Amino acid sequence: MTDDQMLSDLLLRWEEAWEHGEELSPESLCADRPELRQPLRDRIASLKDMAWMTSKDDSSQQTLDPSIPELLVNRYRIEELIGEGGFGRVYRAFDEELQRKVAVKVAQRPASDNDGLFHEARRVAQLRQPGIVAVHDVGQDGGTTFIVSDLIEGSNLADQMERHRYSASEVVRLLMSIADSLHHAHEQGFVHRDIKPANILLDEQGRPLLTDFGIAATVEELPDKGASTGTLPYMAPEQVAGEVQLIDHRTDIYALGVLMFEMLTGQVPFQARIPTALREQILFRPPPPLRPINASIPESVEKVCLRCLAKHPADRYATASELAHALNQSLSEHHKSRIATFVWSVGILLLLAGLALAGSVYVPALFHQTQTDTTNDSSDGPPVIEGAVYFDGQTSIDTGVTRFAPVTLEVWVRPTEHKLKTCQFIIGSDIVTEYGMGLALCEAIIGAEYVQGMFYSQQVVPLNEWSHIAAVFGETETRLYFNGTLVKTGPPTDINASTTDDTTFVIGNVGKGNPINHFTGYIRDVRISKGERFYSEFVPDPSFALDANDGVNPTVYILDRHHKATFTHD
Amino acid sequence: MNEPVGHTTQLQHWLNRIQSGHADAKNEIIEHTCERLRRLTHQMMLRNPRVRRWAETDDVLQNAMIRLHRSLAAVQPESPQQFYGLAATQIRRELIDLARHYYGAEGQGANHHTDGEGRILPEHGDASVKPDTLDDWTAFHEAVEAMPDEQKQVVDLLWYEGLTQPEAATMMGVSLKTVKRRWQAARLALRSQLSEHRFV
Repeated sequence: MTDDQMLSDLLLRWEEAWEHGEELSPESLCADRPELRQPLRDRIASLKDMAWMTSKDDSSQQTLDPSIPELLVNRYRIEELIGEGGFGRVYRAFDEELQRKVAVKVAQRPASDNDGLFHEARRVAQLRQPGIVAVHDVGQDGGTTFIVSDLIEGSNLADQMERHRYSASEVVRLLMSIADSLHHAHEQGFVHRDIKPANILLDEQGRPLLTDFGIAATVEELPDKGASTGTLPYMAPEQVAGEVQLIDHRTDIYALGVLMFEMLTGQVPFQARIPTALREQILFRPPPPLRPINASIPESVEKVCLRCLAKHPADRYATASELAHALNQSLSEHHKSRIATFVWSVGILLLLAGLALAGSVYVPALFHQTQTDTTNDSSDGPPVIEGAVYFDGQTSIDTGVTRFAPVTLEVWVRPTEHKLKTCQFIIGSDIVTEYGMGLALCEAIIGAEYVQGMFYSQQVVPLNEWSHIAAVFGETETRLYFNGTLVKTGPPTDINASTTDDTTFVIGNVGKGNPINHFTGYIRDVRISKGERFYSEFVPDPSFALDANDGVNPTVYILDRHHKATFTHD
Repeated sequence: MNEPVGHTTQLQHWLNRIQSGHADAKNEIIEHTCERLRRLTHQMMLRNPRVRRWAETDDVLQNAMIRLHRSLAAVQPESPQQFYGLAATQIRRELIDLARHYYGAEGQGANHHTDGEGRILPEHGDASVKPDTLDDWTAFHEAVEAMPDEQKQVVDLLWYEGLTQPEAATMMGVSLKTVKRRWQAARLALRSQLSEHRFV
């Protein structure tokens, strides 16, 4: 036996004893081989150094604070630390009574005025709104004050902003949704007072939810009433100045302005190394214009942002709903002006080329393509390449078919790019700020919107290959098929859940007039038919035409590989 | 929260189901792997408060899940051992990517001094060489990646996948003693790698 093997055996003996809580000395282990003592001692020391690799459940143990009971008030089982904020630590927990996952926030310091905290929490608990994280309970266990709320599986905006640069239209869409939720809370008399990226959670579908409503500010405020609350860069001048009588829902609108500024430019409007200087800037300096920082920001969007940042509350939008409306307008204004500019510049070019006559013929065609409004006219819209319609990530085709359910959407598709952290819609029908009804490729997998939400399969769609994808939005469920095989069943569509039915199925992005989530790749054929065409596995039709099944499931729309959109039936 | 008893048997059961075409079985495997990844990510992030603020572990999991699924969609695992190898490699790559993203020269973490120092001093009496910066963690995962296959496999199964030693022995088709020897050798090798990384 070599020395190395010998050492290894001795080390195994040492470790076995160690695991049983006994420490053998190198001297006793090497009684008859004194020359091995030192090398054995070194190896034992090394293994001890690496003990972190062998300790059981190292990770989960360390995330728990020993001062917090594992089972709060005999009901909430604390599982894992998931975040930390001004208020304290946030844990993933399990509500043993209602058998569900919840988030438990534990106050960093004991609140001096628990009655006040409880009162505020009870008030906030009445706030039920889809865009606001619901508070369920508040309580105390020993010296631990805690708040129980919905557990949102996802991330928060602060994290997302570090990883992802939002486009102006994404920012506008997100803020519209936040402003809408905020408006409902404001109407019920709540003011958040600490809106910032970390307090905006994003669920798995990327929908924003406001958290810490009222609570964060209340807790901070209670120990010494009157002190300014909030997070300095997001604080409105009236908060910074401590003019409590001026703090109302418009304080939140200011914070949304800061958030919007940050999302659009990557920086907050006022930056200073020391808090005193930052306070001074918030109070007295006008916010800088956004477009010198990022020229791609539309003027109309910049205008909305700067109005939110007005020093005096009276100069801001009067309500969050007014802000949401202005945001919506800003996007459509920008869209219109972009098309006008495009058409105008194309017109000028053509004129300059001395093709004034041709210009008057082609300009309308280009106009249509940009506006992605091609209905059943085969002369414009995305180009036909290699016998299929090519979508370049900017184009789409409006089928003109008003969305309805039950419906079966089918498509032959050959994606050329998987986009990270986003969905490319093959067929969509959303209304801005709402989910639509549609079929998407999310990163690499098939997903579907069903008006009340979105769900995903685990089916990967290969790049540069033709695949048949179908979605059956049925009476009792939504079924997704890949090459004729059922890959996912989701909830049914309640089309009445939408605020309006004024939308159509669009091929190539998320919805008509919504310039996001475009598809990149080839689409060969599309068929929209009434009812549930597929219940079980099937062999996909290589191309779509009226068929024997049409009596049961009338075809409403066909796009074929020659880019000839066809309507049948109504 | 210990690993469920008999996880290996359960896994073999899933693998059989995958091979006979059950789509759900894949999801169950992914769940197990994600649970491991979640724990390891937390362990890695724990001592880096600035990263913990930025990086939602769930985001990383989501990415890993999609990547793992892509691999599984392309490859039908033939044996538990092969599956675990694949899953552990995925976990390691995710952890390395994440650490690089937040710590590396191009990482945003490098430019954010406002959050204070990323490195937290070890507590008194903590003499271990457990990596505590993301830079150290990257070095650790890379050192595992570069290990000889026999040692890497045992680290994959015991540390990344959280199996017990008897489970790993069954999986690898070797004796328990062999697993113990390799595990010991792997830790000694990593110990010397980590100190080189730290003090050179």
